[in-house]
Amino acid sequence: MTRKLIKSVINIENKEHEFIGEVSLLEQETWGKNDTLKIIGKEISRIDAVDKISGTASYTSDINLPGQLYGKFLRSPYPSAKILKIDLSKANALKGVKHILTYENTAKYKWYYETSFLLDPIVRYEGDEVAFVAAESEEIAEEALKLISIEYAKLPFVVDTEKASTEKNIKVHNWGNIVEPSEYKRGNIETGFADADFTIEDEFRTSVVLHNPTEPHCSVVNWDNDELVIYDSTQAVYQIRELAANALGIEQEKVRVIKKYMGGGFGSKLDLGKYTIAAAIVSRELKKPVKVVMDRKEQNLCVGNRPDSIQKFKVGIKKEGLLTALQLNSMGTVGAFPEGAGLSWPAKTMYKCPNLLVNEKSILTNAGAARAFRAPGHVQGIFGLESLMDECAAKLNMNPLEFRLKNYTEVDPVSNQPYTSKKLKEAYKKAADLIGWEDWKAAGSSKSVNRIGLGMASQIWWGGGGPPAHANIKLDKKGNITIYSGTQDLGTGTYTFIAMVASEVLQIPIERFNVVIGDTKLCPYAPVSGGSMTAPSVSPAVRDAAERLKEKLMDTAAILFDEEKNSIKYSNGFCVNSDGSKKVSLSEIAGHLNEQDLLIKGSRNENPKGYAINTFGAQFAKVEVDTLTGKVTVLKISASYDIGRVLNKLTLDNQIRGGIIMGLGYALMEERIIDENFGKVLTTNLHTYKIPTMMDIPEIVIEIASDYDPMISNTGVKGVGEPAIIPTAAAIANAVNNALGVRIKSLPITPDKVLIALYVSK
Amino acid sequence: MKFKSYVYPLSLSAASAFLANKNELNFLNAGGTDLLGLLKEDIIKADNILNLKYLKDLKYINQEPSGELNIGALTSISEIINNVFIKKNYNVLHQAASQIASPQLRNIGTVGGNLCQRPRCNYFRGDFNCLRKGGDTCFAFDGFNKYHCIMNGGPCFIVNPSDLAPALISLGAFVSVFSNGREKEIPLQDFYILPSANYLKETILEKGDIVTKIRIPAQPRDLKSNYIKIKERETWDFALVSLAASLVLDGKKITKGSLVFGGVAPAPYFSVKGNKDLIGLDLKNNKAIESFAEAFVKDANPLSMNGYKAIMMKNIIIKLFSEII
Repeated sequence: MTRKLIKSVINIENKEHEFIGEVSLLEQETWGKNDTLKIIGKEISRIDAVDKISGTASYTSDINLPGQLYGKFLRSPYPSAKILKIDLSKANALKGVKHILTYENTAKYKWYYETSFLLDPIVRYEGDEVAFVAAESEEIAEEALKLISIEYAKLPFVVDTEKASTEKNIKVHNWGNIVEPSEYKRGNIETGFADADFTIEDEFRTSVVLHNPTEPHCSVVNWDNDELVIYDSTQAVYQIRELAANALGIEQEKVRVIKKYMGGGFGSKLDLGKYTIAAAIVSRELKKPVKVVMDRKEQNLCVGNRPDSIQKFKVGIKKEGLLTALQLNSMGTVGAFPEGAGLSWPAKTMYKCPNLLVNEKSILTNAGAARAFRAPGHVQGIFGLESLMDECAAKLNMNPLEFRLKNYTEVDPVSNQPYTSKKLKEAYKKAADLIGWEDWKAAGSSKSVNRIGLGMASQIWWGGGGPPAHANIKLDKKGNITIYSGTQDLGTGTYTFIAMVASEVLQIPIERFNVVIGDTKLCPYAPVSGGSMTAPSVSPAVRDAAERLKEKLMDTAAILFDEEKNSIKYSNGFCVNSDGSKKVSLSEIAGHLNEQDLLIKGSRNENPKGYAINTFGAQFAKVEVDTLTGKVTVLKISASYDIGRVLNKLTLDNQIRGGIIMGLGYALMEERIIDENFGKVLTTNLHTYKIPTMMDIPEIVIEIASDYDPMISNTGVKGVGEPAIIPTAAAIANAVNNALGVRIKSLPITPDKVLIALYVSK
Repeated sequence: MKFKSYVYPLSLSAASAFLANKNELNFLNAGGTDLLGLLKEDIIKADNILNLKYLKDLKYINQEPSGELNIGALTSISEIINNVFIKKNYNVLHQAASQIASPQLRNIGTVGGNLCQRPRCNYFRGDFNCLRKGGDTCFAFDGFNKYHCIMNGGPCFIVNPSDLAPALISLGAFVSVFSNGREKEIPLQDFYILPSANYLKETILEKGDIVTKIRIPAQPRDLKSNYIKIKERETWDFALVSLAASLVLDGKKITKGSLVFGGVAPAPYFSVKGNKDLIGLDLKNNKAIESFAEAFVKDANPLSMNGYKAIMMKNIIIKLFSEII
């Protein structure tokens, strides 16, 4: 037996998901260190690099089908209103307008966990969908939007998180403004505070930030008889297949989702878009393909965000530096529809602390709904927790790194299970050395105009991946190999690592591999690309498939040579017999076989039981603060991680750099701003919603602390996509505090906040 | 973005005549970096667009024997930055140009366009019928006003977004305007108007008027000048507060000079009294600098979210003085 069915529970983006799926038994031992391998861990250029750089790469928004129509949403200009009257006569009269959906002529497709509909007569945020126009061109569709006349009854609204949390009269939904309050207890918080020599109370805040991927959200849909084909810019082809089928009430097997290349998602492309379903409805009705591409304003209003946070902490510490108790009350807004704004996992699991009490609330406001955003909760949570840990260290006149090491934990404090691997101590050391931590001085030591500061922060995340995840491998008669997996490439290098893993096993160049992913009709199931689980889930399945192919090749060679199988040696794409007199290539073997026999399935193994699987890491920041202008300049960031095995050093560094740059934006400039008098977003383009530019990016140095995880899979890979962003803002904020001797407790740390804080502290 | 026609006038007078048509809303495209955004976001409605790219006569940087410098209105920002003479003799102008927007925008944006650009107020640029767009309320006043003015505000509270304007005014520059078939020249500082005079426009330009030239008078040989711009990100960002200074020093004492601020008022801001008090200021005397800077901020009248600009304004003076010596 090489496979079995299991029930698997995986934590993706703070939510536990249960799957029943087939796994491979872990037959192959984990590879040794990368220096014993030929291609894994090296700096390998992407196999799709030429396609992308030359402009021939086809992204979803590049797809055009014959006779296609263009869809556009009319969106509510108000944060809360009831639609009283819809007049489509002028829009319908416009030449080229083919169809208009409104709530009046469209079935009630349930949306947002059944709290609303695809088109709802009540609109709950500025940007909420009101009508969907399909026309012969995008320009005509836009023109038609201006001709639709809607009479609204404006309703009271609330956009401030704190206000909404206590608001009695203005309710976003009739059942209230609070979603899933949750409580977590460990030990006894009162005893913990009684044991403490000192207690510190403080509050930290973060802003709502937006994903703003380069490629906008988009779909091109078409019905091929009764099969719905969706080209979608998505992080999850299989999940979109399921959600779209459920939304439309059709069988999943009747939906095919395709995504070849993508220009970023960061979590905002894990969900099914209303645009996809509206397009599918029109397409079914008119029997024509429909294409919908969001514009930048829609990107900033309607396709997700990271909740803000208000984090109230109380912490107890012993003189010698041990945490005795930690209390956290937090809230954050999830926008107008239920989502989660929890952020307490770092507080629960980063450090050894026997007594904990956590209360969290997700608050509804009349704004765009939140979606998973690169390490949901952890980015906010680490900023609060790691700011607080710095305050603890300062209270004890202790080096912040030493304080963290005092509270280091070797077991997961929630489950009490040991980790499959934890090399955070090693990561601390490497990142500290890279930044020059030996120069660290107590906060506020400098009195000059331009002050240098050093700061650090730790991170924890899941990222171990898991089953079910499959890969099929197919060998043709010319010796070309195609690998199929229902995963997807977000721009992070999935295509390349799949070819690398197979190349490592089969010892032939990566150019010989053709990788087909992101197509639910061609590829076996693989999980969503969220939760940093793509590489740790898919790479073992690919290795499994490649190893099985190798076995099969050797079996065949044994028959060809008329020798025992265990006398056959495999080397660089050839099978060689015992005395070396006979040699047959992989393609020659393929020629002897019926091709169908060489379609082989590989699967991810089950995760080990009784262990916690996490990634760990630390970032250190060196900043300069101009006390006259309030401007923070990040000079350098060092990063070190335990993320298991490095598959491709080039794309790994890319991903960590990208995370750090995104984290820097979160720390210093990114912020969705809503006018509270009108409930309208003021930052709806990339000029007013400020993301870092080249000039803002500091020197970044990266060293990986781990070789591989010895227990989780045959590749020992953990994910890095989310760990990359988690500690950056906290490290920068701690460095700013170190430079100034004054702490900025809300993000982003803009010049106005720095100047006001310095002014107040005088 | 829809309009009747897109016109390429071949002469200034033709452009002016077309532009002056009383029955139509016509706009100049001198680079388009602001205009296209205004059109695309439906901030303005246009009947016709006049692209000035064939008016080659308006694209020059001329150094006159008298020491004057003349700059054509269609000169690109990049051309200002790359001009060696400007870099050597008018540091304030070089620095201001270098900090505008981004390299791509500087390549296409022009001097005339920079001086005439519309405000960046979130409400003016957003889906709000604000005072400046013909409505009856300034929504920034009790709304989000972090980036708004602390000087000379009311009834509208925009700031002038230009980086070149403070630099040029500090150099005593003049602007030429083609109007009704002839060119007139006025001091650049008189080119801008405050909302209290007219909140529907930012300059004195009337229908049909076209900015043609900037003239910078000859400067003292030992001019020390600089431009500091405080922004939230390093590039493609407008000033929170900026300061242009053109000074003549005798040792550490200022004998002549002018300070002009960006980001604090609806027009480039300078204080006649402040510039008078500048004379004789000793840059070694920190106390004197402090009280001089303090005096500049006295007139500040911040809104709910922009009090920091008063601190910033004072600090930027201190910073500029410390860097100029």
